[in-house]
Formats: sequence, structure tokens, C-alpha cells
Amino acid sequence: MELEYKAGDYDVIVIGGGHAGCEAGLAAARMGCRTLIFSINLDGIALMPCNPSIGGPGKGHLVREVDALGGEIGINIDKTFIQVRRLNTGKGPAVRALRAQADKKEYQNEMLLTLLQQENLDIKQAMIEKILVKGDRVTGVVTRTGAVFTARAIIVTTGTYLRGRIIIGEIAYESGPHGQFPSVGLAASLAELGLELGRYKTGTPARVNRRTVDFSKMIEQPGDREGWNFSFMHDKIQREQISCWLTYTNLKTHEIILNNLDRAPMYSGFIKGIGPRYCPSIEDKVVRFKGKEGHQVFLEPEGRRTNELYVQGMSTSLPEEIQIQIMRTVKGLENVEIIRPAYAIEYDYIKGDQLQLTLETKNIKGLFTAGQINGSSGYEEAAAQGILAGINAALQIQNKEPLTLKRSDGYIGVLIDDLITKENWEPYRVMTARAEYRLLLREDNADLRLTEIGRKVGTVSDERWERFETRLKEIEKEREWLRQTMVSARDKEIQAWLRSIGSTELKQNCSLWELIRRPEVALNQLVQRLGREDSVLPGILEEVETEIKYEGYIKKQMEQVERFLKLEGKKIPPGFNFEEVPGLSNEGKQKLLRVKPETMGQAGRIGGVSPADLSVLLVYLEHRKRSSKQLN
Amino acid sequence: MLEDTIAAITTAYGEAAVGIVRISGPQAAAIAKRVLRNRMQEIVSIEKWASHTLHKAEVWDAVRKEKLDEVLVAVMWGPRSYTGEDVIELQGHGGRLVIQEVLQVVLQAGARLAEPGEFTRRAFINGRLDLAQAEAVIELIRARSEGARRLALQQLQGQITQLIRELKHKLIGVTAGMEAVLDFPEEGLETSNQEVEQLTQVIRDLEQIILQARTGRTIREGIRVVIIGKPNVGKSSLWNTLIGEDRAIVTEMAGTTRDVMEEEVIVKGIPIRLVDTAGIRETMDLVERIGVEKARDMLRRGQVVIVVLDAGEGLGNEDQKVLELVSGLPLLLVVNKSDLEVSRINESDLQCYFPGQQVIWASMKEKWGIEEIKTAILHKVLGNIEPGGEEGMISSIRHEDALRRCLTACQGALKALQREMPSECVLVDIYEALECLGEITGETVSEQVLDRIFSEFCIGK
Repeated sequence: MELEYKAGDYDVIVIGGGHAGCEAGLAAARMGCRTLIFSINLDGIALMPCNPSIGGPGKGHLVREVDALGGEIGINIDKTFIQVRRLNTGKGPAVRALRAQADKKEYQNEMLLTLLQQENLDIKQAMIEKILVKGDRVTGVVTRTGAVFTARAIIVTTGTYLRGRIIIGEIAYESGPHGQFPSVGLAASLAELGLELGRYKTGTPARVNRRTVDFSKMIEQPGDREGWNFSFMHDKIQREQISCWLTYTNLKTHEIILNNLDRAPMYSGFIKGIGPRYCPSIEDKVVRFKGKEGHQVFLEPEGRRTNELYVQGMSTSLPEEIQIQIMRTVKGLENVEIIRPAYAIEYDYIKGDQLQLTLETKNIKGLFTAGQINGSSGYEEAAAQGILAGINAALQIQNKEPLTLKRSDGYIGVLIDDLITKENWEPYRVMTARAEYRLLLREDNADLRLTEIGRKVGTVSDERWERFETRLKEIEKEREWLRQTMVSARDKEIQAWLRSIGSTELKQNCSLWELIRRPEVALNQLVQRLGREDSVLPGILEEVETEIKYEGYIKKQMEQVERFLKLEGKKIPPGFNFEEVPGLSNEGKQKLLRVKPETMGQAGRIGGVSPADLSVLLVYLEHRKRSSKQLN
Repeated sequence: MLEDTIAAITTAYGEAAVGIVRISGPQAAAIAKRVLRNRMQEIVSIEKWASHTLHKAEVWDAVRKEKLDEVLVAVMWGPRSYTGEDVIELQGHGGRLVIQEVLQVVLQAGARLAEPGEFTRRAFINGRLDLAQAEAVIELIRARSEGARRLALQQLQGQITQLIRELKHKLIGVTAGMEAVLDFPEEGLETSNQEVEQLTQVIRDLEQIILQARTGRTIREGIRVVIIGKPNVGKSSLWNTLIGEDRAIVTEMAGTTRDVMEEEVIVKGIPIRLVDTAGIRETMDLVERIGVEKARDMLRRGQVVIVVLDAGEGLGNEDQKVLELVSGLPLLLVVNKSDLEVSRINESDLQCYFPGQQVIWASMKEKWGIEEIKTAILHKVLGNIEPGGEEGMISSIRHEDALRRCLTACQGALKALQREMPSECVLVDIYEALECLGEITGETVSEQVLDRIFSEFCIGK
């Protein structure tokens, strides 16, 4: 372009200021890299274009892990939640998860402020049109207005903006989410670089006006009075909370939907992108589960200073006039007014098998991608990839070993490995069911798993490190107390209490540690019982109790991890040509060529690669290693 | 993959009179130690034995508390062994069946059944084969695993595939229900809460299939038949007539006593192994020599026990002793010398002594009833399963091994459910069970579970 001018030079450039971009930029800057975040619109920083909520099983785990690594999402939601609950409290330790409703505007404001105050970090509003490459390495970017910024590493976090197209019934137009501009030129630039793009679809329900909703006909869903904290930097947070409301669709709703299916773009073939199964539109639910007489509809407030309510469960791409008709059949929504209509959005993503586990592209050095562009969905999934991409961009610039997280390290490892290794057909959402070592990857121990790693790479501040060390000491103290404190079989009060909770009496003296092994004996009750002044930091008792109560299963999972790590430790040399291996099955060879796994373990997780293929590969790699040794 | 300990029979069927079970890997000594005893039934200190030495020992089945075979134990400590790892070989002189049982206890003691070509692969990886052999190894793995896969597929076509698919379907159903509730707690899902019933059903099915598996193995590996009876009733004639010209393999069999003979005939394609309780042909002598309990133990290892009676003599005290010895065992009564004009044995006597047992009237002299005896042996073990149609059964020890591990895991899951452990814990066991079934069908399940969640439960914002 003739009008191009040299505008600046950075270590790391992040394209996009969403949940991935913010974490990526912050991580790189905190590690000492001069970093620049571009956003198409500064008012779109950390935007939540869909649910006003963060967390839930798997997702809450991700937030905790990002936080443990020194990320921002946990701190930011703690600052801005208007409701918080702990889900699955009646279930086991591995699936308990926090979920919060955010004040959307506050969330954005707080994040923007954090970015603006971050040392080494600049923010600019501009649309990036082109990525510059020299040889096989990125060199910079060009904005729509011709500004050229050079950099050693570029992280692309375009979310649903890339060639975004919004569909409402028969109407479709180019757009980013939530009335933002789409990013069009960049898609062509990425394709020019040889990246294979695919097309996904997702959607969001309408927002309605609180004034027009009759809550008296709905069921209130309050937050937990107790208050919670996502971030390990905080203690439990007490704050006035706002309720959500539950109502149901009915047969009338379903009838209108079925009568207008021909106007639903998903069914008329107007939408070609593939949508996620876990986030179906209301028309999808009605068609696929015909027998169900009502589907849940949650009304979730979008903030304290707005009347907008998010209508969870009513995601649709039906025309606007039908949307209103459907809504008004629902109890409590008879007179509802829509503020923003529901829409479906199609966007480009890049196929995961073009990435390394560091989130750097395989073919272009210094080019990283993170978030929805990698085929995931969700703010939490985006943030998780963002921090990892940011860390790795910085590590590369500092000539340090890259950081990859394994499936046994955390949900971040599961997420990235799945995105790259598995063939995915829909936007990827994390679930606890996807984590095979789930019992080890709990929300409560995310810091024990990851904070040291964050400290080593440089994203964990002194303050966080201090809190972490204190917590470690407290945990050890608690363990010691449980081992040392004995309960006497002659203590009548304890015996009576044991009977009262349906347990059996002690036959001989035993330590608290032993007593806690009993499933029916809860540690916090026991502590109260013993009249011990509860000076313990929150969460510590639960952490220790989990360790003791589920010791057998935890041990089993640790053994599984050990086996897993052995295969994971067998590295396949970078750039290895799977074509040259004789004796691989055709399907196995094709799949290996597509994914180019980095370890034997990863190779084994590719669908279509058989155990025989793995054996052949193992023998061949050994052969190769020894041949080269001989030559030397 | 390389670090666990593997075991397999390394002698091919029918190739030799000795059968060898090879154990290779870091746990080889520990595992061998669990199954071996010396003559005094004491644990042996394998780890103290020098490399490349031979030792005498006995293989014991700890569960059934019985001796399986006397073996020569060869120890070769790594890296100076075929695979480069610690290798222990158990050389038995028993027939195929005995060596299979030896392998079975070795697997139960913690070894994993070796993959096709796995010893060789390990040998290569550990630098025990030279470079020129590498490609040959690849070919070998490929050929063997192809063969094994084809074979497995053949075995899997038909009823057993269906059974295992159904089992898997049921288990995935249980899993999907539990997972959906865990991952989507706010959806108000209506799940069945029938996990206990479902798991109990799966466990029952598994036990059934394992039983069938044993039948299937019989078809490949033969039926053991033990012949007993008081002196001079015609046991030797029956033995010789049955073997006749069909006589196949003679092996000296090591068991409780060196004098037990084992011979094999093929009937309708199925090997029948005749075990004579004595070179010693006299059962009661045997009892006197080794005691009732041991004699019974030996009889128990037969899948069919033929009691030979003499039509010329009638039933008496000695038959009473035989009766005590065989009560509760799978019996086949053969009344020899039925050609005599006056039979001193009638149906009602038999019903009195051996109620409900099948009787075959035969004459070795006249060659009557021989075919009936053969058919009855098959029927006794296989029931109505036609020997020609094997497809309904799992005949591979590998599959049986996987099914057994699957069963154990399911039982663990059920116990955890009943103790009201959290779902995530129960699921640890259920996934293990599914993995075992996956070893048979060659499929992984993680994606299938997700598919089921989304197809059965209405989930989503």
C-alpha cells in the first residue's frame, strides 16, 4: 500500500482485545516484553457478547488455573460479579465449580483499566489488515490506515470477528458480534500465509427489558449468601447480589417454533457453519426433543446499571417477529419487549492441527493464535489459551524453553491438546468429562498445580507468590494437626456424635486423619465439634479433606498419570517426516501427517492411529536415532 | 508402554512337549515370586538367583490353592537377556491346557499379556538386536498385528460382538447419565438414577460372557477327561478304544504324580485329552497313595469325569468309595460289558448311587457305545453349542483377560456406588471397564460418551 508508514516496534503484538487477547497481552507484558494490543474498538475490550456469566464445571476450573498462572480473568470477575454460586456442592470434589454473573460493563471497564495501567503494555484502536512475514517468520502487521508495526511475535485472537456474518431469520449482514465491525482483510492475509480456515457458527439469545418482565410468575435463583472468590489473590467476597429468574417454555411456544421452522436459517440451509451441540438454539431443542413439554429459560441480569436481561435457553436465529411471538408465550414474559434481538453468527476459525502445543503455528515462526479463532468457544477457554500464547511468545523472544501444559497438569492442557489433536466438528467447550485425570485437576488445587510454573516463567507477582507460600504452609500445618490429634474411644460425646450422623462408634483411639476417611464424617463439622478456634484459611480444610477421603481414587489416578507421562515423555523430533516410516497403516499415516504429533502420547490420542502403528513408529524412531548416532 | 511387565506362551501349539511362559519387564521377578513355590510350598527367593541359571519350582494357583505344574525356572537378568529386561521363563512339561493355566496365574499376578511381536520389539528398543534387524522387526509387528486383528475380527463377527457392543452401550449409557449431571448441573436433567441396577445387569452379563469364553477356549484348546473306576472294570479298554487309531499326541504330563498320562484324540475337530489317573490304573490305589483330597483335586481338573462300571459285577462298596470321590463333579457313567447276557446293574441301582447322571451302556469288547461316549463328552462341556459354529464365543485368552479386568472394574464401580462415593470416583472405575472393552473392539469411548450426552439429554443455553 502506498500510504503505509512505519509507526512503531514492539516485542509482541496481540490482534484482538477479547478474553484471549487481554490475557495474552498482560502475560507478555508482565514477563517484560514490550507489548501492544490492537482492538477494532476500544469499547469492545473484554466484551462478553453472549452470556453475562463466567465459570461452571470445567470453565470455573479454567478460570482458577489461569489465575494460578498469574492471569487476570479470576481477579476481574471477582471485582465485578453481581452474583456468585458454587455448583455441584452435593457432588464430589472434582466437579464443584464456581459460576458468577458479571456486570458486563463493569467487567469491561475494570479490564480496560488494568490494561491501561500495566507496565510495558500499550493499547491501540485499529483494524489489522495484514500480517507481514519474512521467510518463515512474522515481522509485523499493517493497519487499515496504513500504519506498519513491527514485532518479533504476533498473537492473533480474533474471536468471532474474522469474516463475521450475522444472521437473523432471512436477514444476514457482515458484522462482528454485538454490533462491532467484522475483521475481513485479516482472514485473506491468514489464508495467504497458508493457514487452512474453517467456518463455525454460534448464536446468542435476545436481551429483554427488565421493566417488561413479570418476575412474580418465575422462580427466583439467588446467589450463595456465603460469597466466593475465583482468584487465589482474594478471600471470600461479600457483596450485595442480584438474583436470576427461572421460567419455562410450553407447548404453545413449541408450536409457534415448529410452524416457522422454514424461516429458521439453520433448517433452510441458509447457515452453513457448524454450531455447537451444547449450545443448541431453541428451535433445535424443540425439534430434537419433541417429547419435552417445557425447556428451562433463565433471565440473567447483565449488570447493576442496566435493565437488560439475558434470556438463557432462548438462543435462536429465527426472524425477529417470530422471536417476539415465541417469547410472549412464556410465563412471565407475556408483555416482554426485546432490546437486542437474538442472532446467529458465522465466523472463520483456523483448524487446530496447524498449531503446536505452545499455540504457535507450525509453519510460521512467531505467529501464535488463541481463543475462538482456534475453534473453541467460551470466555474461559479463550482466556486459558490467551495466557499460554502470551507466555510462549515472551519465552520465545527471551530465548527460553517453551511452556506446554499436559493433560495431567490441568484443564488448560486438556483444552489445548484436544483442540490440536482431535478432529473437532463444532466449537469446543471444556467439560469435566473430557479430563481423564479429573480427580487431580480440582478447582481448589489449581494453585498447587500451576503457581510454581507461573512463578518460573515470570507471570506470578511477588504478592501472589507470598500468598501461595502461606497457603502451602497452612496446608502442611493442617495435615500435621490431623495426623497428630487423636480421638479417644472413651470420649462419649464424640461417640454420640458419630452415632447421630449415622456413623459407627470408635473401637479404639484413632487420629483425626483416620476418622476423616469415613465418607460420612465431614471435617468442618468435626472441627466445630472439637471446639477448635477456626483460624484456618478458607479452602484449606476442604483441600486436606479431599486428599484424605479420596486417597484411594487419587492414588489410582496418579498411577494412570504416571503411565501417561511415560508415553508423553517419548518425544517425536520436530519436523519428523511420517511419510518415510514403512509399515504404517494408510489411515494411521494420514492422520499422523495431518496432526504431526510432538510426542508418542499425543500420537496415540489421534483417532485412527492403531497400537500397531504406534509400535512401528516407536521402532522406527529408535532405528533412526541409532543410525544417526552410528554416523556420528 | 515399555515399562510394564509382559508375559506370553512362547511355544507354539503342538510344537513341543514343553510349554514355556516368558515373563519380561521390571516386575518379572516379583510376579514370578507370587506364583512360584518350592517343594515345601515356601516362597522362593528368585531375586537371589544368579543370571542364566535353571531352578526347579512349582506353579501354584493362589486362588484355588492348588498346584498347577512343576516347572523349570530360567532366570536371565537384564540387560543380558533376549529383551534386554529381566526375563523369567517357566518351562512346564504339561500339555497345552496346563501351560495356559500357568499363563493365566502369571497374568493374575500382575503381568500384562504381550502384544504380538512385543518381546522382539522390546529386544530391539533395548539394543539387543542390531540395526539390520530393525526393518524386519517392523514387518513382524505389522504382520503379526495384522494377523491378530484379522483373527480378532473373525472372532468378533457374530453374537459375541453383539454382546460386547450391548455391554458397551449399557456402560456408556450409565456414564453419559452421570456425566451429564456433573457437567450441566443447572439444566434440570431428568436422568434415570438407575445406575445400581444397570451396573448389576452389566456385571451379570459379563459373568455370562466370561463363562462362554471359557467354553470357547475349550473348543480351541481341548476338553480334559479323567477316567476312573474300581479295578478291572475296563478302564484300560475304554482308554485304548477311545484313542484307537485317532491317537494324536502323547505327552508326559507333570502334575501331582509323574505317572499320570495324557493323550489326545480329535472329535468333531475338538481335542479331547484323556487323562489316565494312573500308570497306576487303579483309582483306589491312587487314593491310598496320595490321599482323598489330592485325588479329588486331580479329578477336579477334568472337565468331564468318566466313571466306568462293570455290568457283570453290580454296584458295591468300592463303587461307593468312587461315588464319594466324584460327588459334585461333572460325571459321565459308562457301564461296560453291557454285552453280557446277565447284567447285574440296572437303572434303579444307578439312580440310587448316582442320581440324575447320564448313563451310557457300552461294551468295549463289542465296540458298542463308543460314538455315544464321544458325543456325550462334547455335549457335557459345550451343551447345545455345535462345535462347527464357533462364532458365538470368545476363544482368545486376551479377550478373556480383558473381560475379567472389565468385570473387576465394574464390581469396583458398583461397590463405590453403594458406598455413595461421588460420581467422579465411580466413573474412574467405569472408564477403566470401558477401556477394557475397547481393547477387544479396538475403539475408544471418550467421544462416544459425549455423543450420548448430547443425544440423550437436552442441554444448552
